[in-house]
Amino acid sequence: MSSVLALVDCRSFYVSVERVWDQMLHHRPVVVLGNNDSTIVALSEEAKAIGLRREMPVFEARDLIEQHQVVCFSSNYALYADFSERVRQSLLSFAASPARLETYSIDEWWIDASHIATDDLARFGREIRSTILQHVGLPTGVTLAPTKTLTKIGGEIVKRYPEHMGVLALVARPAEELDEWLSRIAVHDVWMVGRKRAEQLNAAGIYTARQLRDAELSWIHRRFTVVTARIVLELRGVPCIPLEPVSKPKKNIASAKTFGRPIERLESLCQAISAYVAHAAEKLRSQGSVALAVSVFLTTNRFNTSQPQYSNSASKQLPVASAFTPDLVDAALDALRRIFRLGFTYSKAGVFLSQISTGDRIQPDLFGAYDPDVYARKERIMAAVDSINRLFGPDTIFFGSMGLASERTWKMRQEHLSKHFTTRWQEILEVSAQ
Amino acid sequence: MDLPSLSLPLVGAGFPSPAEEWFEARLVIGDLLVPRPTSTFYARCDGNSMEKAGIRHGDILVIDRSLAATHNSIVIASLGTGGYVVKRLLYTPTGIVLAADHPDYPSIDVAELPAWEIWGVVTYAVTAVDPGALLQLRPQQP
Repeated sequence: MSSVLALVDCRSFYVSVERVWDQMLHHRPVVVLGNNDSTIVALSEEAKAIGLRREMPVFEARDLIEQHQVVCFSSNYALYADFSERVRQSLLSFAASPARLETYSIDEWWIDASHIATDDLARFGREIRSTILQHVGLPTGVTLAPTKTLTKIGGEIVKRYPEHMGVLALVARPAEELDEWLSRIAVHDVWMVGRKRAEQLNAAGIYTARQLRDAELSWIHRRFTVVTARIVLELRGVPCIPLEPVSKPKKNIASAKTFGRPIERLESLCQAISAYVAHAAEKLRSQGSVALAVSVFLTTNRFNTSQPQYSNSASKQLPVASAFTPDLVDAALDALRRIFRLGFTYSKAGVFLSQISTGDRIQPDLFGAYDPDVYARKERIMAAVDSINRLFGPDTIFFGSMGLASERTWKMRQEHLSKHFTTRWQEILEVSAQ
Repeated sequence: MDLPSLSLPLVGAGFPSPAEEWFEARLVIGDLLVPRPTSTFYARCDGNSMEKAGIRHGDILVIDRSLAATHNSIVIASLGTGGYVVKRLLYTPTGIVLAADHPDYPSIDVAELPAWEIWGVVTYAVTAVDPGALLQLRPQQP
C-alpha cells in the first residue's frame, strides 16, 4: 500500500472563526489585528482584494480600512485556540488512529490517508471538508498527495483555483496536470524552501517548483544541502519527511508581550512580569510539568532611536522544581531587579520557564528544600485557582504582585476583541426569542 | 520475601474496600447533555417566545451543530439582518417556516428573507429553578 497524506488547512483561520459568530461578516472585508492592535495579522479574501496585506501596520492601512468599511478585530487567541482544538478532535474520527494525525500549526493538520483507496481519496477529502464546515463552522482546504511537500503544493493550487471547491486529490490526477501546476508555482512558494534557499536556487537558474523537481539529484547534493535534496525527492513523490503525530510536552514555556503603553517604573514592570509568569505557570501546570529555572528579559523600543537604549536578561534557578506561581514569581522578580535600570523607557518584557520536567519526578535536594506535604498543599492551591479561572474567566483570582486590573496599563491593547464565546459563561452567544 | 502490594486500595487498618469491585464512575451531567463536545456550543436565550417549547428567558441552550435540522427541530438561525434567533423549524405545504412557540410572535416565511441560515440544532435548555443558581454566570453589567 502506498503512502498518502491529507493536508487539512483552515482558510483565513482567524477571520473564519470571527465569522462563525456573525453571519453579516460573510462577503465583507475583515481583518484581525495583533501586537496591541498595531498590525494586520490575518485578513479575508475581500480584504486582500482591496489591497490590504498581512503584516501591514494599521497606520498605513487606516485609509483603506475606513474607505471600505473593513471590519477590524483584535486577536482573540483563546477563541482561536478552542476552534483549533475542535478541528483537531473532529479530524481524529478520520484518522485510523490518533497516531495518524499530526498538528502542524494552529490551522493545519496532516492525516495519514494510506488506508483509503485511491479512487476514494477525493470523496474522503470532501467528507472531511463538509464535516469541519458543518460541525465547527470553518471552511478548509483538503489536499491529498504522497508527500507533505506535495500536499502543500496542492494547498497552494486549491487556494488559487476556486473551481476545485477546496478539495484536491493530487494522486488521482494525470501527471501532465501536476507538471503544469508545478511550473506555475515559484520555487520560493515551495514548502521548506524559504527566502535564502530560494535566492540560491534562483542564482543557479531554478525558478519554478517544476524545475526544482526535475533538477539532477547528484547536482543538487553537490551544490546545495541535504534538506534541498529532500525537497526535490518529496516533489517527486518520495516521502522523506515523516508524519510526527505526538506533540511532545514543551521544553520551554515563554510569555512575552509588547506593553500597551511604555513603562519606566520598576513597580509596573514587576506587575507585568508577575502576570506573564502567572500565565506561563498555568500553561506549565496544564501539561503536568514543573520548571527549575526562570528567565526574564526586558528591552526598550529599539526603533525609537531618539531614546536611550537598553536591553538585558537574567535567569534564576529555583531550589526545587515547581509549578507554584508564587515560587516562580519570586524567582522572576529577583531576576528582574538584577537587570532593571532606572532612566529607560521599556517597551517589552517577557519570561521564560526552562529545565522543565514532569511533576511526578521531583528530585528531593540534600538540604531539605523539598517537603512533600508543602508540595501537595501548593499543588491543591494552584488546582483550585486554575479551575476557578477556567470557570469564571482568566485572572478572576490573581496574585497581588500582578497589581489591580485598573492599574495594568501595560496590558496589551485589544480594543476590538470579540467575545470569548466558547470559554467563558458570561460571554456566550445571546440568541433572540423576541 | 513477599512484600504487600502498595497498589491495592487500603482502608483504615489495611483491609481492601469490599466495594472496590463494584466501583462505577459517578454521573456527570455534561456526559448526558454534551455527547459530542467538538460540535457543541452554548447560547443564552433572550425573550419568552419559545416558552411553550420549554425554553425560558435566561436559559442556557445546548446547540449541536453536527445534527441535521428536520421538521420540528428547535434551531438557532440567522435571518440575514444581524444576530441570531431561536425558532422552531417547520416544513409546511407552502414552504419552510421559522415559527415561534407563542401566539404573540409571528412566524417567518423564509422565502421572504434575502439570506438565512441554520446555525445549529438546540438539544437541551438549562433552566435555573433556583433563581440565583445561574446568576454568577450571567454577563457582567458594565
